[in-house]
Amino acid sequence: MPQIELKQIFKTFNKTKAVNGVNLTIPEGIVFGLLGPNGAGKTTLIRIITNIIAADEGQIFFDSKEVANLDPLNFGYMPEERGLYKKMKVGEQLMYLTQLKGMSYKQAKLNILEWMNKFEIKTWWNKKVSDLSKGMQQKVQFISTVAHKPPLIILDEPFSGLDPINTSLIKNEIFELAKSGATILFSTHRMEQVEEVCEEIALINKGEVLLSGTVKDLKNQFKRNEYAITIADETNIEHNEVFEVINQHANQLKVHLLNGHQTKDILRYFLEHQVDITAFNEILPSINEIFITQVSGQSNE
Amino acid sequence: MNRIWLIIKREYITRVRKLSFIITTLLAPIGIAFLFGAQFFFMSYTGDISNIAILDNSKLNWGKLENSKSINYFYVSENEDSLKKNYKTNGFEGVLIIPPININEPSGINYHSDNLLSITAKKSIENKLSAAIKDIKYKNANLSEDQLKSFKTNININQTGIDSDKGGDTIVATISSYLTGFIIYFILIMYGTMVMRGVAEEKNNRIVEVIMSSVKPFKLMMGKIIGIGLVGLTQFLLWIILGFAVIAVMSFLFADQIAAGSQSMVQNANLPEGLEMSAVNEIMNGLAQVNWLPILASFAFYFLGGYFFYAAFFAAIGTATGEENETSQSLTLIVTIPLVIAIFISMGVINAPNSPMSIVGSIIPFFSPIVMPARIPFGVPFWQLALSVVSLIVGFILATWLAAKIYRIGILIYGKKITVKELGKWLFYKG
Repeated sequence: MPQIELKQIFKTFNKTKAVNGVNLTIPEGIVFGLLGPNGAGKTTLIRIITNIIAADEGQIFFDSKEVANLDPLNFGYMPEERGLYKKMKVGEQLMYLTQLKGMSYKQAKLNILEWMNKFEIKTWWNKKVSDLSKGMQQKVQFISTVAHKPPLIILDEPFSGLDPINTSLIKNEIFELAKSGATILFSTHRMEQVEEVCEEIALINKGEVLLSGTVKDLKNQFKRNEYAITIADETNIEHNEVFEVINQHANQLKVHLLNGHQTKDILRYFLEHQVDITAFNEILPSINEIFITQVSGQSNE
Repeated sequence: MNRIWLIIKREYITRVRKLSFIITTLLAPIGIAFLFGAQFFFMSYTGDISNIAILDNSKLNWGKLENSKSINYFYVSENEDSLKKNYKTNGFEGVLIIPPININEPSGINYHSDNLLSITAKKSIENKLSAAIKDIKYKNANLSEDQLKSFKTNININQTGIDSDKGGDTIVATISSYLTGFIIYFILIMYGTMVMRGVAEEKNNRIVEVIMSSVKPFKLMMGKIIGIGLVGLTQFLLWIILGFAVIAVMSFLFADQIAAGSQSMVQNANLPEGLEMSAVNEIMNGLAQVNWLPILASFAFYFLGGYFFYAAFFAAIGTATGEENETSQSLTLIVTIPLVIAIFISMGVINAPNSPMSIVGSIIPFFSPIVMPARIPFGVPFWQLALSVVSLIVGFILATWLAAKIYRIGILIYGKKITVKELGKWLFYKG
């Protein structure tokens, strides 16, 4: 059963269609990536899901309940533009934000302390946010997003502005949270992170969903039947009835499998011609490549 | 727990705990006490005594001018020209030359000095001379001492029927009009800008987006307005307590000086003799007579009502206050103008509490928080009070509703110069 379901969402700002008929389903307990270039409508869509702004049309369901009627809405949300009260103390601030999500004082305190222990920042409770470095503030921000154990965590460009240490820290926590059953929706325009982190993605451009599905399926859908092969010696390989050679540098080959043949036919060809293979890989398109071809394809239309 | 309560609590606690709050709370009454102390001091301070030479050529039998606190009179009989030349070397501030005069049309009295007389000194000399001439006239009319005394009558109009059966007093009413009007004006501006800065702070440090994902913008705005309103109320209560404490201590320590000070205040006001004490008594009686309950109750109501009304506008402006101060200044001005107009109207109230301007001003919510409390000491018909209360309540509900519409949109808009026109457009945005 899908945990989140978006049905025909429309949102127009001053005649600009920011979100134009988006349908999306996100299953429970996965890391879902919302991809798209800047200005594609990701943040608007996220703000609609988090109830910050209302859609002009359409409905959003969370566990079959309409999101617009949920109060308090206890999703964890980390906006792209991070922000904390600069003059408040770390502990108080986390308590405030966590209780605002509907958590009791006692439980909030327990959860926050647990996270602070985990990040080894327990001594910061009485520090003012303005006295913390940017990297430290990022940790506090992350705790404020997840301390109330939200069933859905929405992260808008979570890695932008993070230093490498915090990036890997947060990445690990995202996996942990997903493993413990939370659904994670995050938006990004940086594709290399997507393959690493997401199980499913939706590609958004100009307010519309271009494609969506699991990373694996999408890659298969857009693969060009190309293989990278490394052979033991520098034998020259010719075009043949199974594949054509796109290029060959010394013992490195890039080949294209012809229609009507399967991967194992390539291997059989080398076996029959008594050429030793040291490496064999199917070349799958990166999400980045899919993204670029899809987006530029759309703008050419 | 209700989450609006969390917001109110945060707004309240973070502000009340601030050093600046504690300092202003403590220092304001001290400052006020100091101001009053300084006033007493300056009023009882008469300055150096100046010596004035009097050359009386009038040949009138009118006695001599008595020295006053700041002026000593010396009667001299020198030649006028040499006196004018040498008065300084003889230690005189100036020379008063009284030529032979006709008591029915006295003219030609001349004060010669290179310094002008102060206005009070001039008035004092003039009053003394005219009193002396009056005495001569009485004597010429062959009136006895008793008859003379019987001419002096103090009249004090006693005003009743204004506020149930309690008596009223114009002086006290005027003072409390002035005070309440100004206090409410300052409170509205002070706490209004506090709301505005609070909203702008949340917008600028971007935390507002996180909060809005768990709380509706209306709740956030109301939580802020209520929280800051409570800060204002707290500060006000503390001031009342501290004020009483300071007054108690002051009057205990400086009882003599204050009595002397208030006496000289009355004297310097040039009241005719015999009226001095009665004026003080009148104020004291007036203070005791005033029905404080409606004044305090109306003060509390108009303070809160006015605060809620204006805080809504300040909150809306806060959303338009991006990183740049320019916009906020011009927008603040727009909100402050009605407050300034209200102060002007309330000054008119003191002269004419029931003029059409006063009545209309005390009913329109933009002005009523300042104008109505100024009118109340003079007595206000029930229907006007009721209309004013209702329109202020309706006013702040409407203002809050409008502000919430602007707030909801404005709080998420960045990097754009926001104009009044833009704010107007937001009112009609959906969602």
